[in-house]
Formats: sequence, structure tokens, C-alpha cells
Amino acid sequence: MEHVIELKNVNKSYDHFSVSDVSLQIKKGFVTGIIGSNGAGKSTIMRMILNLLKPDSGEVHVFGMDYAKHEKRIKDRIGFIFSEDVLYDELTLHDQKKLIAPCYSKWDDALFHQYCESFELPLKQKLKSFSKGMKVKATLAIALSHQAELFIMDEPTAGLDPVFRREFLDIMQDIMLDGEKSIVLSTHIMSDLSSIADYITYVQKGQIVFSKDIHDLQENYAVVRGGIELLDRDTEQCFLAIKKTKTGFEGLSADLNIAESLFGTEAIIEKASLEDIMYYMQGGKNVAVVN
Amino acid sequence: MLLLLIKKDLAIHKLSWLLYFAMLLFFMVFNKDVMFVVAIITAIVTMNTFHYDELAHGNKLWNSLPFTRKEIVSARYSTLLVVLVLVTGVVMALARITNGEWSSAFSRLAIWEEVIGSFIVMMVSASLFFPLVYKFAQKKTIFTFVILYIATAIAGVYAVYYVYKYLMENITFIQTIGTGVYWALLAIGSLICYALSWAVSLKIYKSKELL
Repeated sequence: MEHVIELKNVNKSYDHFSVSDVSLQIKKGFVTGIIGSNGAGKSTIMRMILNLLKPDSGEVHVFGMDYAKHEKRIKDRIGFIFSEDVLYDELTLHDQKKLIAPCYSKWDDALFHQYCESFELPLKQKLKSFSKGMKVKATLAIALSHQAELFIMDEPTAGLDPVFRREFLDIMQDIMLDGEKSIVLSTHIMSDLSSIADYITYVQKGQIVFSKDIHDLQENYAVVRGGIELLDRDTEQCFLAIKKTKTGFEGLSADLNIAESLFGTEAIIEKASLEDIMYYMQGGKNVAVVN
Repeated sequence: MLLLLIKKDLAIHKLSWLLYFAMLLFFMVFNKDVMFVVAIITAIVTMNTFHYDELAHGNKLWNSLPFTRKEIVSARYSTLLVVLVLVTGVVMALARITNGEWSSAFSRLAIWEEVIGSFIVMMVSASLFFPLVYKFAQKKTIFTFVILYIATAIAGVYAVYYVYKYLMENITFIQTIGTGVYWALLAIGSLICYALSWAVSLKIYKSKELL
């Protein structure tokens, strides 16, 4: 099975927001980052993958199975981390583990204790005394201790300090070493993704704008800056988004080679970072005018 | 798996169980009736379970673990029955220890009638509130539901007392059929309510958006 998650023509509508016609395939053995600004629909998609939200229409398959028939089998193989606390403040980590461990068919208690030791998590201390970072580590220790094959992480590093974020990403890299596990990670912290993600899915206004190999993005997407006189109807076709001023422009191109052949040395052409891509794509294909 | 969820519903109270026991003793010392004590303590425990779950984003947690929504709702309905039996057991044991010195203010009701009365009150109030909590309760509103539920349970206790008193004094039908049949009919009615409420909650929770 090549795809660990498959969404087909998924729709979900609310009063002021909708996720429209989302089709997405997440490959097994890779890290897929779902990016987009706040309110773009990342969490809605993640929650539909976890069956916390049910799509109005369309299909969601995880491990090739659907939730209607195989909910427990699917969830038994998933490890999850959310940005908000999902642990009981009045319990100790030991108490919390005692409640969760029997729920999984492959819980490994020795592994859990190993992670707690490595993350320096006190087992007998109430969770309300844990810092935000410790709580994320506690959730991570639980997620890693039942031999999950798929990890769903919804903004796991939100609100965490850079040191812990780096530690977290190192742990993610360790998880991926055996090549059997898959991670789907939603975030709007681009620097987190550029170091670990293999694929990037960009979500904007409830729709998937692209889903691509990160190397393809890093090699081909370019930011072009130049004088306004360089722009005409033909050259503008090369850009996904342009921001213009009275004297110059900045544009995002999906093809570095075309940009170079069009503008040569007359414009400054740089490879686009994920943050650049998100920033320029935010305006969609419309031309943004900045005075 | 249902047992795991019931165990969870009981375990998340942790030291609060000592507080519940202290409250139970307090009400007994102040000579409250069996029905009142059983109903109020069960109501407090039950609604605190919802409260603790809501504070910890429990819906999100337990729905991400290998459980179905049907199991999660069914466990909550089963937990109420378990708590009712536990609280009744403790109250009856304490009543025995005090050698009957602790007597009901409504002494015309036998202990067994008070016990059945408390079951009826809890079944009916849970039947009303559980679907409402599943439908509407959020982190910000759950405490209001806790208070309303406990108030309803207390009102239910007095309603059961006074309806019984009124019927026994004014309606010959009850006197004809006997108190045993009267309580049995009420118990069956409350069980039917509970079963219907269970089904409604399942329907609500299956389509609930867990944000």
C-alpha cells in the first residue's frame, strides 16, 4: 500500500467557512507537512483524517480502510498530538498512562518509561504542574509507545520555545528512521517543516493549492524582484502572485528556469523559501498592489 | 473496551472521591433522606465527569483513541448506573452502621422505596440532561449544566416525595394497586426514559463536531 491516507473529493461546510473538494494522498514512509495561514482549513482536514469531524461528502481512507467499518483498527495504529492539552490536569502522568495504555493493542510500557526518562518527565507529578513543552512531550511519549504507524500532529509546536521545537524535530527524524512510519504535520511555522518534511501540501481558503515534493518546491520556486518596467502581459504569466509598487515588483514563480530565461540579470532571482511561497500565495493568483 | 471507559469515568475524579464522601457524611449528619443523599451525590459525580472531560478536551482525546462514539456514550450511561449502585451501597452501609439512628425526614417511605426513588430521579434527570449536554455543552457552558442538573436532581427528589404523598392521600388507585406496583411502574417508566435518552444521545454524539 503506497498511500497511508487518501481523501477523495472531501467537502465540509460551516456557516462562514468551507473545505471544498479536497483530494489528497499521503505517502507511506514520509513526512507530509500541511501548511497554510490561520483559518485556512488545515485543522479541519486533520480532524477529518482523525474522524473527529465527518465530511459532508467525499471519502476518507486511512491505511486503505474507512472509519465506518474499521474505526478502532485505524485508530489503534495512529499516534496523535494536538496543539491544545488533552490530558487531565488533576492526574499524574502515571495515572494518565494507566488509563490510556490498555486502549492500545500494542502498548509497550518499557518504551513509555524509556521516553519519559529521556524527556525528563516526572511520572508522579500532577499534569497541571507541567509546562506547555512538558505536556507536549507527555503526549508525544504516549503517541510513541504503542507502535503507531502513522502520526497525526496538529500544530504540535505552537507556542513552544525554539529549543524544544528543535528537540521535537530531532525526535520526529528518529521516528522516521525505519522507513515504515508516516507523519502528517500541520503547522504555520515553516522553519519546522523545511528540515523534516518530504512533501508539502498548501491549503488556502479550504482548498488544496498544491501538494508537492519539498525538493521540487525548493529547487523550482523562485522569488523575482525587479523594476516595474520589466512587467508586461507576457512576463506576468510567469508568476503565481505578484506584489507591485510604483517603481518595482516582487513575484513568485513556480519555475526558476523560466524566470531566469525571461529576466536574466535584469531582475534579482532567488530560490523561494516555504515562508516566501506561503506569503506570496496568500494573495492567490490575484495581483496584489502595494503602494 | 466499555469497561475501560467506565474505569476512566471513575478514575478521573481521583481525590474528589474523598470530597464526595465528606459531602455524603455531611448530608447524613444533617438527617437528609436516603433518596436525597443518593441523588445529589450521584448527580455531582456524574456531572463532574462531564466537567472534567470538557476541561481536558476529553472528547477529542477519547475519540482519537481506539473507541467508537457509541462506546463513549454507552460508557457514560453505564457509569451513571455504576455510580448509583456505589453511592447507594455506601449510604446503606453507613445507615446500617448507625443502626437506623439516621432516619428519613419522610419516615412514611420505607428505605427500599427511597432507594428506588433515587434511581427514578437519577434516571429521569439524566435522561433529560445527557442529550442536552452532548448537544450543547462546551468548555464555557458545562458548569451551567452541572448546576442545572444538580438542581433538577434535588427538585426531582422533592417531586417524588410530594407526588407520592399526594397520590396516597387523594387517589384510591394507588392504594388499590399497592405501593410495590406503584414503584415498579415508576421504575419501568424511568428505565424506558433512560433507554430512549441513550438512543437520542448516541444519535447526537455520532454527528457531533469535535473541534
